[in-house]
Amino acid sequence: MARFLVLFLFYFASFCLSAQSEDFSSIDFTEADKLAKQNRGASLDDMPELVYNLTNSLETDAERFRAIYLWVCNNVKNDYGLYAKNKRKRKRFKDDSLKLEAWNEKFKKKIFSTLLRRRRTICTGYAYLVKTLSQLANIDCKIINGFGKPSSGNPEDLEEPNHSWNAVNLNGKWYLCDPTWASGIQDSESGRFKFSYNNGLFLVTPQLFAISHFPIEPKWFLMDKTPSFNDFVNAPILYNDAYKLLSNHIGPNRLYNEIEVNSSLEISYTLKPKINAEDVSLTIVDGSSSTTKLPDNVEQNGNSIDISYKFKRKGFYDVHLQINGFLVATYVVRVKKEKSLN
Amino acid sequence: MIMKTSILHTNALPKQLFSIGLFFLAILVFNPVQAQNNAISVNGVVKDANGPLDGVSIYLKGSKSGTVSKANGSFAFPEKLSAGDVLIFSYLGYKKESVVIDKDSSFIELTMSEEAIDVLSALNTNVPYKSKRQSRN
Repeated sequence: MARFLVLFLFYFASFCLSAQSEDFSSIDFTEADKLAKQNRGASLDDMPELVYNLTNSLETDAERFRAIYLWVCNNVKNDYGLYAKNKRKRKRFKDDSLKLEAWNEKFKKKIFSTLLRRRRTICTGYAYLVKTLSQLANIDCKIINGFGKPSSGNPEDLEEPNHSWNAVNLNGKWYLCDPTWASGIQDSESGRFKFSYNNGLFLVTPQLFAISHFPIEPKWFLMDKTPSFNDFVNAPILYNDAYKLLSNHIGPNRLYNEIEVNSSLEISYTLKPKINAEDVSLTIVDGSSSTTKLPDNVEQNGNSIDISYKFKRKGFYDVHLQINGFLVATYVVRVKKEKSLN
Repeated sequence: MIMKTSILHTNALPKQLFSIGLFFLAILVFNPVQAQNNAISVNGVVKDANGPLDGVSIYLKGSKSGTVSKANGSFAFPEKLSAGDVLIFSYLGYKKESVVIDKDSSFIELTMSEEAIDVLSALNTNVPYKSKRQSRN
């Protein structure tokens, strides 16, 4: 009896410890994922019923949240037309708070009717829907507004909040996820959205999340030591696939790096799954030429990986790191002449 | 002295665990079960500052039964309710409201208020980043 109780308590206590998605490695999400799939295409007209169908047979809040989150990611499309229109207007009214508020009010209505009728939306719609459906399942979930740093455009151009995601409380602990970016990828030229679920954005390590997400309220970093906005703007570019492969990005912590000729760019990550060292490659763009190289050294120790590449010529390089053909991160390297020894 | 405390601990541990176990058991066994008496038929109307709301989800907390408001904001709850039941009103873009049913609440008139949210959007693509310097080339 006592042994059973110890196990029982351990089971509960194990939720309160350690980090993020690993907290739930003992939970099997198969059933939750199956329910999300079974309800594919369901309408949003009756949300309580949808929530009931998604969560009723599940045991834990983690599974219930999973079913809701996955359903939203796989059933709501990102609407490029809405996105472009909102971006344009918000930019135009950014110095006129009254006009901005009026636009926001008007657009909010449009967002919700488009979401309900056509299941198409933009970030806030995703975050709002995850929140609303979670609340219907009695799960405490919040919308977090802030800055998202996508790979297109320049980080320095981030002037005002542009992105919304979610924080969810499971077993007394807060977790972060981004249903918009997990849902799929937008072709910014054709404007077509393609569903392609990215599980890496479900319950993300806060340190990794903070490289591309800067909440307006610092407490939603869920970190003791929070980065400054400057740190955020100057951080490397991280791609969506990075969330699948990494559990943390250790260094370099800046996008722009300066090194001398014959010294190396050193990159360190904590990996989720193990990978083969030979699957790491670097695409180095220098002016008009682009070459793909293997790193000089890849060292793996447990889950950590250190990658180094030596630059033999001075110049200005965009370095794109790939693992298994997936684009992970970009660093910019200015290679200077070696200083003389005296 | 050292001996004594260690004995105390080994004895106390299973007892503590036992009482914690009982506590969890109690939670499982004495889950609130609602009695079905004093049947009350509930109908009403839902609106916001500008008029009736069409399509508000109205459901009984903790159950699957519910309904949706009509274009004129009116609704008739399909099941008889009892005092103490909680009806939840939920509508996208509005704050969720809950109404506790008592013997006098056969007609509910509810005004829902909009939720303050900023509509934001950032897209993510798989387009490789181009530094300013490279963009010029």
